[in-house]
Amino acid sequence: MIYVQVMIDGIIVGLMFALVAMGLSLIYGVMNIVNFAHGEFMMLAMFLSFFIWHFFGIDPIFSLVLVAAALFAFGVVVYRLLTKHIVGQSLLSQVLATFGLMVFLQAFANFLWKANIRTVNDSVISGFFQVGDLFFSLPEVVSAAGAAVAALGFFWFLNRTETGLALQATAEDQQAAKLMGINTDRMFALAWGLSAGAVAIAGALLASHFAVYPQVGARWVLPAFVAVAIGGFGNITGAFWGGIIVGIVQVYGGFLTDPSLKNIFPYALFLLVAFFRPYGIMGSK
Amino acid sequence: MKMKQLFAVSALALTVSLGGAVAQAPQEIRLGVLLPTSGAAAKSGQETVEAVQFAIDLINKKYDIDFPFAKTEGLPGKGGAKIKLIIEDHGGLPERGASIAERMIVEEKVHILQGCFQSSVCATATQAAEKAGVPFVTGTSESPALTERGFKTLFSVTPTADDIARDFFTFLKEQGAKHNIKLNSLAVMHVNDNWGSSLAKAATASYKDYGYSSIKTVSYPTNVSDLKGEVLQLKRDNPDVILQASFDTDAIIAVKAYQALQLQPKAILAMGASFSTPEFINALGKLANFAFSHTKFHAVLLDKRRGAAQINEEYKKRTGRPLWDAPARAFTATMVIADALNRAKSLSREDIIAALKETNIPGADTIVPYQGVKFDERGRNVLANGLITQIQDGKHVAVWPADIAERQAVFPIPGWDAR
Repeated sequence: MIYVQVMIDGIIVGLMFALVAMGLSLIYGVMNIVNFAHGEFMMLAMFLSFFIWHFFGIDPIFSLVLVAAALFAFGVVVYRLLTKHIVGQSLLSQVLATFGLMVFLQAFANFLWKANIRTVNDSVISGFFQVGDLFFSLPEVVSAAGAAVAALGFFWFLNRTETGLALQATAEDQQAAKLMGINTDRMFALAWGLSAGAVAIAGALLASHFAVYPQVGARWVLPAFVAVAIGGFGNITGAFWGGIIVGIVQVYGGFLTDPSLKNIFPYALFLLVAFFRPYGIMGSK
Repeated sequence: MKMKQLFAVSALALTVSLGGAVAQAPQEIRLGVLLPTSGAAAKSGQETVEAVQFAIDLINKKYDIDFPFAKTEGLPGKGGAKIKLIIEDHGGLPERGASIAERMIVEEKVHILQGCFQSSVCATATQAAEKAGVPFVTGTSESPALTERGFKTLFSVTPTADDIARDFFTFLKEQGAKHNIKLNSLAVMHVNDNWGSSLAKAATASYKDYGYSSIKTVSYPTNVSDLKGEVLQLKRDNPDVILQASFDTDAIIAVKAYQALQLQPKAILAMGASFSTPEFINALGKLANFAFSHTKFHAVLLDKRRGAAQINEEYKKRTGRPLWDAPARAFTATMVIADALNRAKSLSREDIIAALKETNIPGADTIVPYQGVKFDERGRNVLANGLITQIQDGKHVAVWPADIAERQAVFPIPGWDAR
């Protein structure tokens, strides 16, 4: 039974990684840019959720839409002010730009809010429940469910709406998309907005039970990078399943062996994938 | 020609005598401090920096506090020389610790170094200091491995993990006897760095002496987002007692996981600051209750140590928070440095090291619960000890040792549901 518990815990953690990874994969797919500041967008969303709770008493679950919208707008602003100017530039320029943004946002948050850990300590969602021999933390289950719903929404938007299809078209072939009358500049802005919005939903879901501080992004985004690499850069579905796989491998790895080695398993898996299928399990050549 | 020669000689004599006069004025003493103001321990690091800055002000300026160096300006034994503080953030990264220490030694020409909070950073920074022969005093890095290397330049003021494990086991033995409970199995849950591993090592070395039949150590990497796998491992063994070494966010994640998975030991005893912070209590509410912490500072000392109450007030004015474990220890390390610099025959590295070796500060002249500060040949403070606190009703109360305990310990601790 304990193995079932481990599996479920892995899926719960994996769903969060999946949501974070999907946003990351979208940017790469559409613009061929790796956004190193992705974790910092999540951190900002967590801080926003926290401050809305702190000043207005609104639980992060209820302010989630507002936070996602705010970070969507922020993502668009970042595109217009920064990444628009590095599209098509050298890889080094792109890396430095988003890496620099990461350092800047983290340092700025550290400066404004100090490294104090903030927590939402009376969320409407708290406690745990038991099903037979299985134990679940309610906030984590709700977060995972929220992440699953958000992921489904993401898929629906990308595959069932005209804008979503236009976005995919831009990802596939920018020139052809332009020729078909798709405004690629708007698609890029949309991609950044959606990516930031998605990771903001993850952040808002976490804010109800996870500590909020300027360096929190790295804890969630590094495994997401592995998820994207495993699933295939640019493949949203791949990123989703990659996230689930990373979650399960991490929790199982930590349970079956020395937990200090638990990070080895996702990265070892990534190395295997990189060796045998460098474009990812679901990526294409 | 003769006039020219006379003029040249006079000018030379004047320069030499003026140069000599300048040399008589108090020298500036440079203290290099390495602490984390970013990274996993940023919060604790920032508050520790404030304590060191305050200690330097206490030494350099005049304060009406009954405490060594408070009422004078600068170091009396060095003609009133002031200490110049050079602080740098190492972010918890060992490689940064080494390069910062090197830069401070070579470029800033520091006379002495202090640091580092994280033992893993201290490990590399002290190596750089040892290579250069520059004295290094640590008040906050607890890993015994640091002094086991037998460095000539390193002096550790704080109790180490060995002392902490000894205090824990002694306390548990007393509680077991008092409540007639036999404690058989032990687990150590710790972050997988130098500091965390030192608790596991210390506990593994001595658990049998205290009557335990089994020990399970579970270590996790830094910067985890989740500890379910680890806690499930512990749950398989269901230990009587958990000893823990975690940083701030990990501590919160761990306790939440204990509750979610219903792991219920008879006691959880934590080394270090993370189970002592207001953030921990704030984040966990009732779940924080009954956790034990080994600490080297507690409000109860404000009555027992002269000057401590005023120092606490002054620190509160600067930071908005009262003194606690890490800042108090860093403050103490800075005062140990001042004491040695004051006594040293000169500001050469060898003389400062010789003065540190002779250190013999009584506990009453510190703000910490140590018996005193006196170093053995490995640079360890043989008079270091701590106290054990428990969170009761959201407040830390001292429960051990008996002579300073404010309240009785609640043992065994109630279940997660019964709070």
